[in-house]
Amino acid sequence: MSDWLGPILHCHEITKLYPVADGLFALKNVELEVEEGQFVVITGPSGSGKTTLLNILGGIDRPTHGEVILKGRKYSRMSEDDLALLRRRDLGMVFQFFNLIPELTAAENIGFPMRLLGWEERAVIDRLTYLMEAVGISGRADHYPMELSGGEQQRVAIARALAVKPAVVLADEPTGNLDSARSREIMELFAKFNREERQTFVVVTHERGFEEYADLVLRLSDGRVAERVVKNGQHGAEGKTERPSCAVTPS
Amino acid sequence: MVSMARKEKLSVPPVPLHLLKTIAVRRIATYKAIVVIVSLSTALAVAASFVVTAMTETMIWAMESRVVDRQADSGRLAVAMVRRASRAAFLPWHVVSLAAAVVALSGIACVLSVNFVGRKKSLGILKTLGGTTRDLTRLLALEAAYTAAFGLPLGLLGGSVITTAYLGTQAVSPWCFVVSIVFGLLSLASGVYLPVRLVRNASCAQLLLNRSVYAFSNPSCAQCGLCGGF
Repeated sequence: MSDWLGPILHCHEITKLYPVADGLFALKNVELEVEEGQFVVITGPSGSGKTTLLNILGGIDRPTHGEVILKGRKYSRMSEDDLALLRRRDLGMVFQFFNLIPELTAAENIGFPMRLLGWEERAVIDRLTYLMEAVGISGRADHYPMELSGGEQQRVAIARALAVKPAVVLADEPTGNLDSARSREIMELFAKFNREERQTFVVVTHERGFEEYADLVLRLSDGRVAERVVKNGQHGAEGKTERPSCAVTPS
Repeated sequence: MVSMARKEKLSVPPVPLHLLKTIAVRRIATYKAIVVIVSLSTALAVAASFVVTAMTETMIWAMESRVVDRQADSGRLAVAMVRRASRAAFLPWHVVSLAAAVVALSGIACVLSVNFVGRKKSLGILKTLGGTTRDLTRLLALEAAYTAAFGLPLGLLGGSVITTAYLGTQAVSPWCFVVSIVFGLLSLASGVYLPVRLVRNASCAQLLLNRSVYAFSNPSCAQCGLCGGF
């Protein structure tokens, strides 16, 4: 739980332009406010700017205009190293291609963020044991990433992202490389941690199945917010739907 | 929202050294050890035998010039010295060993530099997880140190074996080892210099999303991109 009282993550008029002749934009004036404990799903067709938005939220990429604020800290005022330290402490990230450290075993990968923050070894082992059991890879602790299946690697990546109980977990197409059965398992895993640990999630996906777990669904189209669906309560029924007027016509 | 924003200096410790050591040792063990050690061994062997050859040539020249000295005037001595020095410098074995030393040195530098391109993503992952530029630099320096720790003894052993086989046991002097160690460390330093420079100039997006990284931090480099970057 965080001591921050406002929206945990706020992005204000995010625009990302690519420096090409016709001024192609990946994102245009995207607004998003995420409350603590919310499960936000960002969907949209391929090329709609989902991954760009997530990279900007994670401080991996910088927007051309606009501001991202995590627990009151503005990204634009931070250096690359400050952003790295912010990610170490307050952000967990899950990628489509897992991005595990190949030289470390599954257990070492999960323990990595905790050791980065200087946790005591006893606390690391306790959390590690809990997470490995929760994601169902207890028997694969000493295996290197290349010895694990895609589903197992993604479970390790999820456990690593959740290890230090970060303020927000950002997931980019976490089921994009998995079959439907494995995808369902991963979705259930996210929902479980959202429910049990009140963990805030922002998940980018093209799969509609994730929307049933969401508190807020953001549909992107051509780099703009085409639709914003706010659901009632925790994983509740569909509530308010907003369609911004500027959303329909791409420039 | 703007008024709510607070400015806070983040204070978290650097990546613990034992974590970086684990990654560095396992990486060397699994990927590049063979290539680098073989290159290093070859380079050191060549450097050692080059020094020995040069010393031998100098000794022969000194002995012969004394002979010439007794028989001729100073003008003929100068001509003989130049001729002897030129012949010594362009002896086939001498030229081949010097060329091989240069090739080996640039080989090590290239292997380490090209290796950076292949591992941009893994460095990007470390940065995504919270590693700072200093942490990544430390990792690269550690890898070079471990490579030297494995490569130098092997190179010195290989160098002395080859030199002894060609020139006899008395040819390997302590100076050969000194020159070889300096040569090996120079090769490693030149190989690590470019990756460290690139890491210092690279953002997380450039590493993780495999975008071009430039050796110079001039912003016009990124906009121009004519050289393609790394």
